[in-house]
Amino acid sequence: MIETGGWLPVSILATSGLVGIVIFFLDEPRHRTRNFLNIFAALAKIVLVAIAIGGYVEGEEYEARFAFVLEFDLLLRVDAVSLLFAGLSSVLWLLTTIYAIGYLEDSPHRSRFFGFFSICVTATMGIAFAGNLITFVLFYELLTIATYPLVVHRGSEEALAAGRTYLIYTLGGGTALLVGVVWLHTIAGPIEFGPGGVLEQAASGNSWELRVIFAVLIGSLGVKAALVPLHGWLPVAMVAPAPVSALLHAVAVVKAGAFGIVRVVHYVYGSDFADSLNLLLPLAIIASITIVFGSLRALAQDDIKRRLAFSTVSQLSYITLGVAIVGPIAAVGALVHLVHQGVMKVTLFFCAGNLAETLGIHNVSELDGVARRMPVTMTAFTIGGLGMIGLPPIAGFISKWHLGLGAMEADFAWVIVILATSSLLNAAYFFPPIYAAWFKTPQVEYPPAPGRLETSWMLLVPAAATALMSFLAGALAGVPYSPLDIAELVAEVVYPP
Amino acid sequence: MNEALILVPFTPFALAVLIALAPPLRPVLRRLVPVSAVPAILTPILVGTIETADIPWFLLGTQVGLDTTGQVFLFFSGLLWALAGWYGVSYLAHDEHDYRFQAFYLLAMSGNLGLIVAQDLVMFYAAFGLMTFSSAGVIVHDATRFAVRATTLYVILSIVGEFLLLVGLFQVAMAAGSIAFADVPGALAAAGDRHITIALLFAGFGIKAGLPFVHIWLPLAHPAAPTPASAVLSGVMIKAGLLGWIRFLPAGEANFPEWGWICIALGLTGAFGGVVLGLVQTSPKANLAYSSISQMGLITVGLGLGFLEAAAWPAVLTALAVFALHHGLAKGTLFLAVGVAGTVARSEPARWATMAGVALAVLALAGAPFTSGMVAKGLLKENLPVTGDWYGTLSWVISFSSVATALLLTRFAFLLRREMRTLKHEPAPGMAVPWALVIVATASMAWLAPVMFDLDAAAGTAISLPKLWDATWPLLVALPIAWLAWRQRRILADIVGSIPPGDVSVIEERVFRRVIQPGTYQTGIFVGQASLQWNTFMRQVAAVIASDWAGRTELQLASWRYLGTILLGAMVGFVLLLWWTP
Repeated sequence: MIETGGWLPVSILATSGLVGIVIFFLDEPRHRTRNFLNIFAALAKIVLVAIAIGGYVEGEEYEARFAFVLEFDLLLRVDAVSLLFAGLSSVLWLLTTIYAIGYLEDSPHRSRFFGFFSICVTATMGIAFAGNLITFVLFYELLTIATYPLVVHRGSEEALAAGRTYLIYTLGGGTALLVGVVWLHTIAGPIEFGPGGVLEQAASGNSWELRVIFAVLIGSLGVKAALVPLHGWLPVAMVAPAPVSALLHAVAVVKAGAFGIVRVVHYVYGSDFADSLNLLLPLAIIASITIVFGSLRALAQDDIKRRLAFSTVSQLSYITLGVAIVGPIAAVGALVHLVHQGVMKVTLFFCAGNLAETLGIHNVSELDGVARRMPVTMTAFTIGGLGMIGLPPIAGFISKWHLGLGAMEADFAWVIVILATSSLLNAAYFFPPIYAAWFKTPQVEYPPAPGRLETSWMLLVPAAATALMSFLAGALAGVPYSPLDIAELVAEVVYPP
Repeated sequence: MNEALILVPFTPFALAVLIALAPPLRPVLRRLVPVSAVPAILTPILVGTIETADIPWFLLGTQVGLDTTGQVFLFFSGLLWALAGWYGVSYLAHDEHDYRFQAFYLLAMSGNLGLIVAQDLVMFYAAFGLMTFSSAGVIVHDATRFAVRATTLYVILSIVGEFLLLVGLFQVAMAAGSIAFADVPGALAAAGDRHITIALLFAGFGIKAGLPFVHIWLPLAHPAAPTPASAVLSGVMIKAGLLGWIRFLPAGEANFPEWGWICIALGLTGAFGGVVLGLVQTSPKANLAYSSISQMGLITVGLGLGFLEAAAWPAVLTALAVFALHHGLAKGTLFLAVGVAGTVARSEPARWATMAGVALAVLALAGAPFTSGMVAKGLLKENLPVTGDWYGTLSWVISFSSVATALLLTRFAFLLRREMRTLKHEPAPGMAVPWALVIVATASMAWLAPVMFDLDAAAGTAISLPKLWDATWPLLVALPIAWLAWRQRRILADIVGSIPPGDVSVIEERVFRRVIQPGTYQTGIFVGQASLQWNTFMRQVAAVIASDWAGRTELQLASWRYLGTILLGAMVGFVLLLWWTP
């Protein structure tokens, strides 16, 4: 049943969910109404999430519980880590919506697009606030399905093929996830997330079974989290329109996987318990392989979006790596990177979209001198790229610092080498486009800017805003309510001092 | 109030952002470039030392403060940044990309000043990175083939440096359990794996400081940059490497004889190797870059003395600070002279005046009597270990380095004189005044700084006959050699130019270009092909299972409007149903 405070998570989901339905039935030309609804809902969601953050810090509890089939409950609950994810998603949803309105101006099927777009965010919020495994699975599957129409939005042969690949991978993963959850249920009963893990009390003794289940859960979540070798769908799915890529890579799909891994390790198994089952070292190794693999692959890509996609493969595993290292500092690194990677990567995809939409540039080799024509976009790209390398004072550094220090604390000195190698490789694939854009002479005459701005303000403002956020999240990491501050709050809950 | 120290690096940063964002104001803002360094000059003079203050909101919670070493560094760095910036306002007045240069110049300045006021390792590292990578933007400025090659090498070495530093930083932060400089060197001295950490930090900062074997970027980058940027690169930015050593390394905490001798050996290699390689250069700026490597070698020897004898560290620290100030200003004078020389080509008196200024700085670097060089070298020699046979030898060796420097810089004056005859630039008014001020500072600051900043520099500033003789004889040795070389210049012409600037970089670049770069790229491609095959395999497996199913799904999704609604409707219905069920 819904307690008084339970209305909050429910209404956070409802803002986008209801708008999604209304938009489905709006006729195509009614773009004013559609845009107003979208923006209004996005703003309302930000306000609600802000209220939830304020209340949670004050000690309020928000929980909505409904009886579901059998002895399962549908449970929406506000806790620290859900706020981290919801805060990220709600802010980036607003910016991505503005961007998408600008990007898809005058293109067909916008009602379909924005309808599913809203459902996507609803599902993401559901994943954030899910208080037990079964609720998590439900929204996780909803997300899979709601994203498919976005991936194939263009309807081209290539897009449909990408959509097929996407479905095969993610539905396969989803099925395995369900198997894992049901299996876990048979030995431990309904699992509600609890900080520090709940399995140690519920099901100790079945260590081999628990190990296999862990592998199944991580393997299935690893599809969306793009762990090598399950990452194949991600670079293919970048044929989707830029706002979808931005959403996919920063907020919704891949983040849902990474967030799921956080939930499983810290809120189901508990990192100490998982470590005592010897599960975390293999996870750290897989994450490390993925980090280096993704960067190596990114190096050889000329297509900007493909390069960014492989960069996502690599960067996402920073989160997994941080989860796999026992200790509060590494946990902070993982959690804060959940936010930082999102903000930085969304910036980069916005910029890639701006280049493609304004000048028709899709490849790194075409970037020569483009900064003269699009200085704001390339400034944002530069900030995002340098942040990915992990250069201070941009957000990426804060993540890398905590991961490295956490690794030292846990005596995983080899992780430092992985992190440093990854920085090196990141530099190797981000510096050339940055250099080409700012310092080389253009190969072709670029068409002049349409107005005073280099491109539509709806494309420019979101990119500039997220770039600024990437910068501030790093430079002002010490401020209350910064991503780092909230990540530290979560780490305190997971590892009580 | 102490937190306000952060405004010193923030001022140039804010100006850079303004220049980037407000094109209409640029003609006014560019004139403020030198002004933005004024707080850095005035703070150490007017405020003195500043106790460490916490700035909890910045980065990971940072600390700023100004100790005596910081005072000296902030003062001479601010001075050179301001005067070179002033010089740059004229130098780049007609440059197509003037504003880009000014913005990068300001960012590098901000980083440089920031790392001086930083009192914790995260802010130091952040500011160091800002300085390093922003200065790439000024080095590549002219975008000639040479500049691009120099910048590429610089950036690669800088990234390697960052890599070494980062690993070292993690280790040292872990050992100290804190990021404050107050805790770092002590914890490092006691840490179990300290030698690895020391090696990483020593090499990481050594790349910046022009340590032999990792110096190769320096003779390329310093000449490639526009002249005002060369001056700050060689004058102050390489000193950031020295400051890194001072802040992080545990010299003074305990005796580390092995590191002492490593520093002395590498330092002397740099001091003499730099001169040898510099003598055969044909460009005045390359000559100066090698001279910087040579002078930083002496500074490295000084650091070694601190490692040898913990008790001597406070005095060594003073010597290093004064040496850095002396070399920064004198080298700034010489680099800026290259630009001035180009503009005075047609006036004989101006040419002589220029050569007089150059002569003053050359004499200072050669440690001639009554110059800043005599003060700096006097302080350095004062700290040679008093026991053991090495004392006399080292003292002689340092004096001989003055002979070498005198020869190298005489060659510079010769090259500059030749350049004056060939260059036909329009005179740019506004470069002479800041340059003259740098000369005045070079002549006076080694004497004034100990008074202003309350340093115990008596060993350097005291005048006595043996000391004057000590400072004079290297010049007397150098003069006849220089004269002889000039007489025999036809014979020597074959040697000159035989080693290109960047010396071994030619080999290292070949290794990079032939092995490392294609290797990494090929690995990427190979991994790609392997993963492509894996994908094909997966797709085949999945296709068998799911092709039919996926096809049907697509058909159903064609009626998206209904599917989406059904999906959500089902969920909402579910929830409502369950809610009303008791």
